[in-house]
Amino acid sequence: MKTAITRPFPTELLRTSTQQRVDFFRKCSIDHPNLTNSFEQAMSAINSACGPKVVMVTGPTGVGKSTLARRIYRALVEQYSDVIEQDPGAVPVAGFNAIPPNGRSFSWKDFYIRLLERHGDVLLDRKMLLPRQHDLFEGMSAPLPIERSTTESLRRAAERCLKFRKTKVLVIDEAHHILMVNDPKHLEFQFEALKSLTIESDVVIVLVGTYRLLGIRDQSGQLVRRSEIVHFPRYNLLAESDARNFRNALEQLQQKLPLPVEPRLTDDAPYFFYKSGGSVGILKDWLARCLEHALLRGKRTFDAAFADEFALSNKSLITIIDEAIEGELMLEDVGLEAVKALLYRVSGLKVPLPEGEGASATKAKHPRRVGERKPVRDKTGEHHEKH
Amino acid sequence: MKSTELQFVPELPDRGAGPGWPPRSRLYALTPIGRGTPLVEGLLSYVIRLAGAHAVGPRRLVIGALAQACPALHRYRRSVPFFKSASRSVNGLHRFSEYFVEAVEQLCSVAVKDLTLLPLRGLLPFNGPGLFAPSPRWCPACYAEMLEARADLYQPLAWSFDLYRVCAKHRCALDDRCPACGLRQHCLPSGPMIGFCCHCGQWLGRRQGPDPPAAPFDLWVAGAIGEIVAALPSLEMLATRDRFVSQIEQAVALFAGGSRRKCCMEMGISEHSFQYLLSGDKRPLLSLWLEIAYGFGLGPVAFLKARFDPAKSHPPLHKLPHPLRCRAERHVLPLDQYQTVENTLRAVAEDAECGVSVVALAQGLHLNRSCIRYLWPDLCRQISANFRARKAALAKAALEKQCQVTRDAVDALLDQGIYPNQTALARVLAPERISLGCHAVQGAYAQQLKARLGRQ
Repeated sequence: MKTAITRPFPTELLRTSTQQRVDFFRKCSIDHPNLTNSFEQAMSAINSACGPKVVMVTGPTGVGKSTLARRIYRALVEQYSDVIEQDPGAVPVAGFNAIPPNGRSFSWKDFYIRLLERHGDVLLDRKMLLPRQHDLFEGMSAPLPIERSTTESLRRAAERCLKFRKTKVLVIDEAHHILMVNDPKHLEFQFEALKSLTIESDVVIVLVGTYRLLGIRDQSGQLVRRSEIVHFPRYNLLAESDARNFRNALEQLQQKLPLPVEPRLTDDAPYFFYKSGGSVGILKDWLARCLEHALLRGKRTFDAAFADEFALSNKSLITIIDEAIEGELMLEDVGLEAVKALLYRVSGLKVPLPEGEGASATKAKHPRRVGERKPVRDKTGEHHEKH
Repeated sequence: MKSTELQFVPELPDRGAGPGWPPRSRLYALTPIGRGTPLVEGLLSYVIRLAGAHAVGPRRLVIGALAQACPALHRYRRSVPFFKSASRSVNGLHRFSEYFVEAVEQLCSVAVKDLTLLPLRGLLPFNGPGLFAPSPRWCPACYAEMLEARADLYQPLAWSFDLYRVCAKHRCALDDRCPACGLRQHCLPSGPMIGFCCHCGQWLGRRQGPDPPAAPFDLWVAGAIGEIVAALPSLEMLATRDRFVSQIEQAVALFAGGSRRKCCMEMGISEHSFQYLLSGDKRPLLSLWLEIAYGFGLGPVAFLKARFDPAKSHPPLHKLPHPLRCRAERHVLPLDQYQTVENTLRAVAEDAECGVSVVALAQGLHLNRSCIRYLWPDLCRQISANFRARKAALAKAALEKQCQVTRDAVDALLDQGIYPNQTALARVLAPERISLGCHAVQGAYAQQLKARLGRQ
């Protein structure tokens, strides 16, 4: 049994309330290879001089994307600490959540208001629609602006805000909500708005969200050209290194559980993997629930059997893993031959395709949209007749 | 966080522990343009640019943000004359300058005192006349250059001086009226578009054309004012009345052998100019400072810094081409005309029913209003009081007549068997140009209706 001195939390914590101990565990973070690799990849893309304007950090639900966003934010604040010290008005890094729409399409007005609030702006209900500096020309007549705080005026105000606050990076969590529109034809406008924001304000936007973000890649060539995808994957039990890394992550989390006796969970590592889908975020939330109930029941520790009571249902896991697999498939690239085939077809040259490339070329010509299930996944026959 | 707080800390929802942010300025910390140069920006221009950066109107910024940091500005929030013209004093030494400097420095964390004349508080008087032009002026060629260079449009502090009449760079006269609508600009307009007319939105810039050449003395004055504003950050300790007086005494001793009269005559300024400065505790106007510096062949800042060494030779005194500030015409009337005018004014003042304004009287007598106010202040006060009372009485009588017409209309409708609701009554009163929106008319209508229906 480990002594309290070797536990990675202060011993006084064991004498605090249940809520405090649960809060401690929820706020603690661990390092694991997938998180570290994704972090490094994202920071490299953000700091690259000729790098992308949009960095998309995507992964399955519960893998720890918000944790990664926090880490990126903190690292950038540290990186720009000189600018922050020298300029009393500078906010080089800003972060906020994209709020899901209230039943209809994503609200850009709400988005801009939150962005301005995060930058401490004032008089949000009195914004004017002013021409941009580069739109002015000699001899023009500037119409007298009216205070209206429309979406367009808020957008211009947001562009100015990012410029005058010297914002370099904007971290938007839950960014997949931006793509929630009631008409798929309007998706193009969402992409254009994002592209315009990066161009006019010269900031790097970090979009953190689920695999739904990949819809950007499938819809807008312009935004694709200016973006980079950082994949934060779940662990794959079949890969020996992943299994080892997941086990290590489980061990780190069990050590941080503020219980009198440290639980022995690594003995059942495969079980915890199955019931968390290989996502460290789901695992941590699960252990937090176990911790809370163990403390409420006065237990000094718990095991896998106790944890099973608070695990996600298997149906829920199937939904989560299903989405994760779908996203991973979307991220798989096609071969170069498919690109050649498309180029030759477009150029009008009647060149026979290499054998076996017709399917992949077709696949490249008709990529599936976000939400469109792979045909092989659904049963046919009786199930099909019902519809 | 409240938007009324002077600073804010960028919050990060659910972001956990991490490096703390030092407090950020509530408004953007814009860098003043041209600091330390003759074309340094004025504080009014800075506030307008700040408003544009926040995409709000300058007046809204003053009311909604600056007044939070400096409550003394609250009393001007509904004052249109303040925003149109009185705020020109923000660039000077007025209490408005102090209010705005205090508010901007708290909200932007940027030092802006040297965008005003506050560093010259020890030298220039608080309420010197003719310091600033009554409305903003600009050099069209400078605006055109700024636009072509894609630089931020702004108004240099020097442009706001009444004595700065030509652009030192382009040597052309400053404009003060819009070329399209012909109106003067507001000091703090509703919109933050510098370089565009605040009335019609027309662009105020123009490439330099074949303007008539500016007078050399006007160019010297422009350069001298540029020298003052460029040196503002370092002038606070140097620009004091005592220093100025000491420099005059040394210069007079060196140039004119101690004879102030001789000095003034050779420079072409009033021989009493030095007298009031040296004998009391009066402070020099900007125009006198410039005249004296010109006379001694120095720039105004150079005059303050100069060392007048009797052992060294000195150039001769310079004569002013013309005084910088024209004295106001003295009001002098012949004795018989004086008596006639006084009798007329006395008769009007004693007749309480007369109801003539001082302006109308002055026009009838072919005199300036300020002349008769200067010579007969008590009579003019009485005439104005009579005029106001007469106007009030006429207004009261007109209102009572409207109420009577309304009562008669109510009676007429009722006699015709029509219920006098507001719509029917308004139709009847419209040819008389009487509105039920007037409180008194509405009251008369309600009373008459109650009286008639109560009787029935």
